[in-house]
Amino acid sequence: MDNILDIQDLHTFFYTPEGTAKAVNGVSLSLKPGEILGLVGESGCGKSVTNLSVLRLISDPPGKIVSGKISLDGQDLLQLPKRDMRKIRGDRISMIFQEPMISLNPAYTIGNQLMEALLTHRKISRAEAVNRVVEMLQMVEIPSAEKRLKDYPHHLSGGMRQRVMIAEAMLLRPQVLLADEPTTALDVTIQAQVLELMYKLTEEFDTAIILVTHNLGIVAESAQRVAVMYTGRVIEEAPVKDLFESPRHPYTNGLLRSVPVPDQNRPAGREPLYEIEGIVPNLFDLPSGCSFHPRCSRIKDICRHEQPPEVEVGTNHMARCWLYA
Amino acid sequence: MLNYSIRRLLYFIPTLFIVAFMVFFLVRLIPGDPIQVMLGDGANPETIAAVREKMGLDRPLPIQFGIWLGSVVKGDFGTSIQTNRPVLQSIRERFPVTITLTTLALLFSLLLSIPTGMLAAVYRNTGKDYFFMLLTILGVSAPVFWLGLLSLLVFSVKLGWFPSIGFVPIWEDFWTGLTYLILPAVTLALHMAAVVARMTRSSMLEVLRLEYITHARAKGLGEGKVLIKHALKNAFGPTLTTIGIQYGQLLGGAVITESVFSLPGLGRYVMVSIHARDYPAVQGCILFMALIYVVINLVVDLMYTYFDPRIEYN
Repeated sequence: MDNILDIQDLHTFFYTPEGTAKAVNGVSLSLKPGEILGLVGESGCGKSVTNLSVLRLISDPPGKIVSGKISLDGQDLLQLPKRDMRKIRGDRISMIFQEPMISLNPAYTIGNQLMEALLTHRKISRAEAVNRVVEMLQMVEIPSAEKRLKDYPHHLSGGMRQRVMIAEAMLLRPQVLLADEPTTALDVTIQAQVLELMYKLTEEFDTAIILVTHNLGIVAESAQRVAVMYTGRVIEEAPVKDLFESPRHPYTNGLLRSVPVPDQNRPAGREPLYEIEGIVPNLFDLPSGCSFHPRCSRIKDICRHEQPPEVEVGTNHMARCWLYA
Repeated sequence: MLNYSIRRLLYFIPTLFIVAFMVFFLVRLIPGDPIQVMLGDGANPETIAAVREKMGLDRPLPIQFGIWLGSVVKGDFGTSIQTNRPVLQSIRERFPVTITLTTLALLFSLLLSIPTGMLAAVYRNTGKDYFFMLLTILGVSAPVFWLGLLSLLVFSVKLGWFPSIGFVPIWEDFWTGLTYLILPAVTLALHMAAVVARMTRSSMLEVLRLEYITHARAKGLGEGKVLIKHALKNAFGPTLTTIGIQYGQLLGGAVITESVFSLPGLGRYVMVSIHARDYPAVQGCILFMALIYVVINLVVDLMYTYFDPRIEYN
């Protein structure tokens, strides 16, 4: 099957007085229709910037998409005139944000904001739009949906607001959904429900998802493939099962080992939770060679000087590491 | 909302009492004697004493204050020493001029400041931003009387675009009336425009970096809609407060502007009354202006709920 979204060698830099931050530094990702791709990594690794770059929502200045190619169904988004790009936003590619408390406009009702999303892209009557919005709110299981239209965001709980966001994002049945930490801000008890709803709708509309998260549990449960990012690069990508069972990159390995596993039977006086030594390097001043080398436990001499290539380490399993080159 | 309004109206009473108290004693601190001014330098001391007694100005100040306050409560602002007419009647005649002038000035200043502030925020830290902000610094620092005299000189005397003297009420002949008001209103507006533009810029900057603005763009909205519908409405709250406070500046500025442009408004009346040490007239006018100011600020606070629905008055 053809890819619905293809990101090739994307570079997004931020030019600031302190220097140039190479937030996304050669990322390539692809997405098949209906597929869920987990994009994981520590904060500042460029996963959110990758998502925003897809919609060309990087604020310029200071940010700029320097090079690369982002194709939606074969059409290069980076070459589109602004007007045409706007037609794609919210219609064929939509986005869900991390903080439902601040991603909905406090000055407008839920109804107003949902109707706006629909009427911007579809020439339909108001009555029809109301029907579709109410129907969508019912699909995300918001009780007495019709009455909620007149509510302001502050009338709703965090979980309800995120449902509203999902309803809005799915209103136009997009081909791609960019979900940026969609449940991080929610109570644990609600996270599962919200994710469940999101998957139900994307499955129904055959929407592919890039699920940005630092929560490996969520990825393990829902994604088909995982890409791990570190300092603006994808350092490992694999089908979800392979990645969790046999991570190849030392960083991925460390990441997985630093997650507590509840049913592991460890004796008293057990080992402390694994910790990757050192800190994420400053984007303004990346180490030479492999940017992970100062923290790597399996460092080789070449790591210090040369950028590791992408290496095929298994079926559809890629790692960017000198250990396998 | 109704309860809140009633409560706020009740708060007016202490505020206005303090204003009344201050203006009553402050005008009496100005050196000079109203009777002396009225009767001229040649008047003999006995006549002065007699007139002073007749007007009750010989009594102890607290008693005078009590008597005046008592009649103000009953709606009687007293009689002007200078013109011998009821102060309230003069206020009623002149108030429409001042309210037209200040409303027009408010309108001009918003038309100037909101787009300027928005553009400065959108083009933050670029040449355009610096240029607009330089203008606002000039606007804040240029004194009203100087701006007034200068614009009179340039636009009325040199260029002859506007009449330099006289006044036609706008409610008698709208367009002619407007030509008399444009120059004073713009002069009066500039200071407020500068302050409001700076406020709009900073609150727009505050709003533009929020996630719901990115969300609005991610929906596929055009930049105009993002800025005006999504950003400006949220940014307008703090600006609105500034506008309410600045309205006091407009009323104060009207005293100077009306004098420079010789408009028969409340401001000029205050100026003339101060010169004549016309105590009842000054007291009445200032109290009246204070009332307008608090009413405007109540309206501003009630409008807040429109721009920020999270605020509820209960």
